[in-house]
Amino acid sequence: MEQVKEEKYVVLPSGVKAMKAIYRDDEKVSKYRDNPLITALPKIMSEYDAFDFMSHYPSIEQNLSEFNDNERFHSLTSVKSFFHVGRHHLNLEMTFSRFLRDSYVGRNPLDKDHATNFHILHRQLNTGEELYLPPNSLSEASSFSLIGYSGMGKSTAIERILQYYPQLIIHPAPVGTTQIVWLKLDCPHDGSMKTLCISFFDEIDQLLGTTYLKQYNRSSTSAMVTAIAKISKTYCIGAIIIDELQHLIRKNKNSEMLMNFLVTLVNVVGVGVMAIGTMKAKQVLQLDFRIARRSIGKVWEPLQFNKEWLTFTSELWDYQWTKEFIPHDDELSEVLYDCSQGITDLAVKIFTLAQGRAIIHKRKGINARLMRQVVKEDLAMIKPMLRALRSGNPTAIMKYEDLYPIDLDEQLASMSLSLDKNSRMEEHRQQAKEKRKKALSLEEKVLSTVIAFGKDEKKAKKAFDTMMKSDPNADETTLLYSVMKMVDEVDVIVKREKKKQAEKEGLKILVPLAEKAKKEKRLSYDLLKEAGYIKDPLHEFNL
Amino acid sequence: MLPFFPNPYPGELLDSVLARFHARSGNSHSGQSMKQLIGNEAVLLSYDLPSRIGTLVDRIKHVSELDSDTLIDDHT
Repeated sequence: MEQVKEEKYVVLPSGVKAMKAIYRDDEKVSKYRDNPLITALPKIMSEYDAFDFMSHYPSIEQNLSEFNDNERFHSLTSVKSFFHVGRHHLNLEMTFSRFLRDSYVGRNPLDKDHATNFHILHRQLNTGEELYLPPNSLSEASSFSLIGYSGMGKSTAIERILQYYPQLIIHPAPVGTTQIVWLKLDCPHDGSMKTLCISFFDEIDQLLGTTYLKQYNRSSTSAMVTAIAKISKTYCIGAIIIDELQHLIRKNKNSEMLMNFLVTLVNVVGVGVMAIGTMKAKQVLQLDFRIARRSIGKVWEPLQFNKEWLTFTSELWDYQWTKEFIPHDDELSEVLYDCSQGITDLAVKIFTLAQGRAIIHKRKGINARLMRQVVKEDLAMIKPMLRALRSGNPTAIMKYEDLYPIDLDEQLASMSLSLDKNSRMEEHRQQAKEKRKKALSLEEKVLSTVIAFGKDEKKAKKAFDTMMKSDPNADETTLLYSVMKMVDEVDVIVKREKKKQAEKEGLKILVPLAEKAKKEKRLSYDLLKEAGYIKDPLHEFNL
Repeated sequence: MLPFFPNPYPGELLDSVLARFHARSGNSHSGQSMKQLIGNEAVLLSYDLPSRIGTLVDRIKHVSELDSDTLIDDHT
């Protein structure tokens, strides 16, 4: 992103920043040249650039030796943003880069076809005809499916790749449009077409500040589809990425409809469609999705125990917050492999949780036993999945895949509770108990003296409590002195309070009387006299 | 600010350009497009002396080179 930073942005009414198009004139690939939609994209990355761009290594505190256990424990979650780039990531980046650019080949907005297609689409939207466009022989848009086990970092990888591309590029005349380079949607949970269309409109509205969702909210699905085709053309959408495609499986009719729609987008509209899903989505993706004229398929298997795994673990090994740094060796790495079965995300979690255990149980650092313990106790839930992975039986794996998502924060939270239960907390509790005992005997001494002076016991107790709260370490004499003083003060205050109370009571009686007099249109003097508050002067002076 | 605007052809009248805007916009009703273009769906733009050109030009300045004078001289 560094090279785009200096460029000018335009802030759209939606509040989203859009980049002003800068057309590169150094495009060497001839099919990409002269296409403003492609030359406005950043350069094709070399493998090294891609490695640097995608990998992320969170920094580790230098003064780790000064950390106490709690601080160490809190640091553990930093590892979450750790992203190690493996060969499969680089391969994905390369394929995606080609897939995105190819989807723009043959889609030059300055061509005559581009304008013609709008008129066809407009007529179809008005008459409610089925979506159809004359075939574009130049189009190289393709469908792209990425299937992989949960926890292999599919979504994270694609998000990191997408960050390289500006999402919105504003083209001045003659193109005169805002190019939406990519759009990422989640497959709806119910697998319905309509929900997907709605999330498409919603996403566009949020980017551009338009009101498509409001306009098409109640339209038929076919109208929505035509509108989507039109919008995709107007804003030159390059790639639509649909994540979590495994949601589709349950409803067969829906899934077929949705797949047809995605294939139409590729073949007719010329938008590249990428679908990401777990192994469960394999069948749908490999059979239905591949009908697209051109298609790319990728399957991410768990890593094998080989050099790549060792590189990955050696990078991971830097993230230790325990008292002692345990150097990376093949043996521990193999244990971790055995525990995680080559699922990278799972390996990171086991590694972190093992450190959490080490900190709580006052171990110096991680070891093989701790890692196995984590799998056995903290991650007991996913045990069937690990067993299935070990057996290599695909049907068994599919069955247990839903078990996977484990929340590292949650696991750590349940751990920190046990941190409290440990010895130090018990010690602290004992100390607090002794303190309380000590305070009690002191209380008895002070109170008996105060009572001997003829003061009220209740007041003395109250005064003692307040004194203890304000100064818990006070000795006997100071306490005695201040309690005596306080009790006396309290007496004075109580007397004053009583007087005030009496005055108030008076008001309570006299005022209503005066009001009653007003109501009855009599003199308040008479009423007060009747009630006995004013004495008769004749009687008083005995005249 | 509008996210796109069609490039006018030489000698094309403004209402034709706006019609093309609507055809591309994906809006379901032309009123919606008028609202986006000039802020009011009830205004009828006459082809010889259209009004609210200032509003329109201001809204499309990021995606078009048109200014008020060119628009009046070449497209009305």
